[in-house]
Amino acid sequence: MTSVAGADGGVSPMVSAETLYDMPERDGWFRRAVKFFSDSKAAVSGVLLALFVTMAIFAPIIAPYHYAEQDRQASLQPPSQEHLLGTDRLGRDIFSRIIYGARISVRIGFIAVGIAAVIGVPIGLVAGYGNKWVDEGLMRIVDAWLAFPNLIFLLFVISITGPGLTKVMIALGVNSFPIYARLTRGMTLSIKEREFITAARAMGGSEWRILGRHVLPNALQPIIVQGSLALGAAVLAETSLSFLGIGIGAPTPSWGVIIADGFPMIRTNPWVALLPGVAIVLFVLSVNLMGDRLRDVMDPRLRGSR
Amino acid sequence: MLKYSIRRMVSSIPVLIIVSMLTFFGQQLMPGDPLFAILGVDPSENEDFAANPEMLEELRSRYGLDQPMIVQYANYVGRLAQGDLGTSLRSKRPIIDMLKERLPITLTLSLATYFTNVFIGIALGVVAALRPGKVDFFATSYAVFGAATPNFWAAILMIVVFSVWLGWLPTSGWVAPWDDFGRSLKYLALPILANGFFGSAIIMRQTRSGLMEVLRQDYIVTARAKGLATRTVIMRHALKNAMLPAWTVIGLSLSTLISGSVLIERVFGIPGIGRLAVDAAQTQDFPVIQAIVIISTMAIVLANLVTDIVYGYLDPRIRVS
Repeated sequence: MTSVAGADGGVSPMVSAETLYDMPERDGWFRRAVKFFSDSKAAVSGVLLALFVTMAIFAPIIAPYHYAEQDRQASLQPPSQEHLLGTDRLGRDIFSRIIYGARISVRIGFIAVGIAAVIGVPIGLVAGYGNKWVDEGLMRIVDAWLAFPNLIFLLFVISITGPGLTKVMIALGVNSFPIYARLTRGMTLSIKEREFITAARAMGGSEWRILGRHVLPNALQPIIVQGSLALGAAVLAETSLSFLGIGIGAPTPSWGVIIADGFPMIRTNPWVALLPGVAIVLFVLSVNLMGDRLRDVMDPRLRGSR
Repeated sequence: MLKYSIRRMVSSIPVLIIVSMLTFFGQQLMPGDPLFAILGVDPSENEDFAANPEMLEELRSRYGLDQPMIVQYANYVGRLAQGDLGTSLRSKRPIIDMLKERLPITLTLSLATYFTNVFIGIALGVVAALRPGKVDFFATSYAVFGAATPNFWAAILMIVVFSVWLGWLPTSGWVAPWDDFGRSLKYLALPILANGFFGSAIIMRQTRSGLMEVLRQDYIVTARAKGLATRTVIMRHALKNAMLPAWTVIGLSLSTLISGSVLIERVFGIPGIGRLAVDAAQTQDFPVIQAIVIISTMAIVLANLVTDIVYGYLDPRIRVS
């Protein structure tokens, strides 16, 4: 960078043509995607995730049978050509049920994380940006929330609301909002001291406008990273609830429900309970690895923090 | 140190207040007569009450249900403070008695899991930090899989392998260590391992990264240069400092452990508090769930308090900030 004398005699920095030329070009999305997936773990988990999402979207086309289609003649068959992963007690095709299960679990995961962020992020913004009392008050509530053991809290909420897909999603979201509140508050505290916020205020921007247009966009990256890491946890919590028989009703093939169906027969037909678990582990594993990679790329400060 | 401890204790009071408010208002949200929850009998279905509406009124005023909400809340907290957790809607028994029967079981299981986790987690973490390459790869993979595996599924997998196929251990059931210690170990082994899979993975990760950080420090090089044995360097010099961040995780893992025991007790048919919580949720026995939320949250608040105080003792810098 060279300095040239300005018209007023002061010295102002100016970027010369050569330095401009040397500056790295901002990568296009394709280049960035290639870079992102150059990590082998990210590549494998990316492929797996794509597979799960495809399964979820095109379940009715991919699955050889409907998830509730019963064939009493063919109950509890081991894996065969006709039934790739065997059948359960009611003669339902386990492979098809796992594929439909992806639909439920992936959807619940995304929506629960969304609900948690929608509750937690505004609370964090207000706590971080507001005065000391607002901050103290909100953060004490958040601390109390964190003291609840997850599963017990979920049982508590569902015993008030009653079971059901939507209620489980809301319960999961309400349960995990504090992480977002804390994270957003921390980001807001540091962002609000920055010069561009002072500038925005000097220009007469209202507080809400500053929060929405200047603070939030700058706090977004770690929130996205946290969301991706929380997705796996949400799916694990949902499968746990379904396994306990609380939350999602029996005909809906959540992965947890399929395991619960197979559980009484593990002595004679262990595959019914074991196979859906492989899907859970692979899905959560790929989501977690993807989250790790996102964190390394988007927010290197957090590296190794999990 | 004392000042720091007192400050930490005071700061956990608001948490307890909020927990009591939340459980109280949860009760208000429940449909039906609040007397139901206290008496364990639905007043609208009971003939005695239908015949004597005055009796109902008297009961209402005795339990303060005709009072304003804020007074009711104060009464609720007062009952909690006296250890009155209400009556179960299903078994009609005082909840405190039901918890007393089950607490030793859940506590035994949780503490055994807890110490196993800490031991496996630290041991694997140390080995992984000291032996980069294959050993580290194996240990790290364990951690990655541990974080992605639901513990109830790990439990089922272990039952299939160790009980059904190999026949080494019983599939389910419970024998208390104070009844028959040798036999109880057989029943405890799988629940402990299955519930500890996730927890030990987290502790392992933290120990590994903490130790790797510390091993680069100058004082470790000095200790080695003095000619100390590797074991001494690790045990006396490195681990002490590396364990500081891991200690927080160890304290926090209690919450995970309590949630985990709910599932583990279900899989292995262990009659503990977690099992009670699931049964209560299934039968909409709200007072029982409410009591379990309060008890388990108090346990966690207490554990966090102890963790913080011990942390302050281990690392004096914390006390000042």
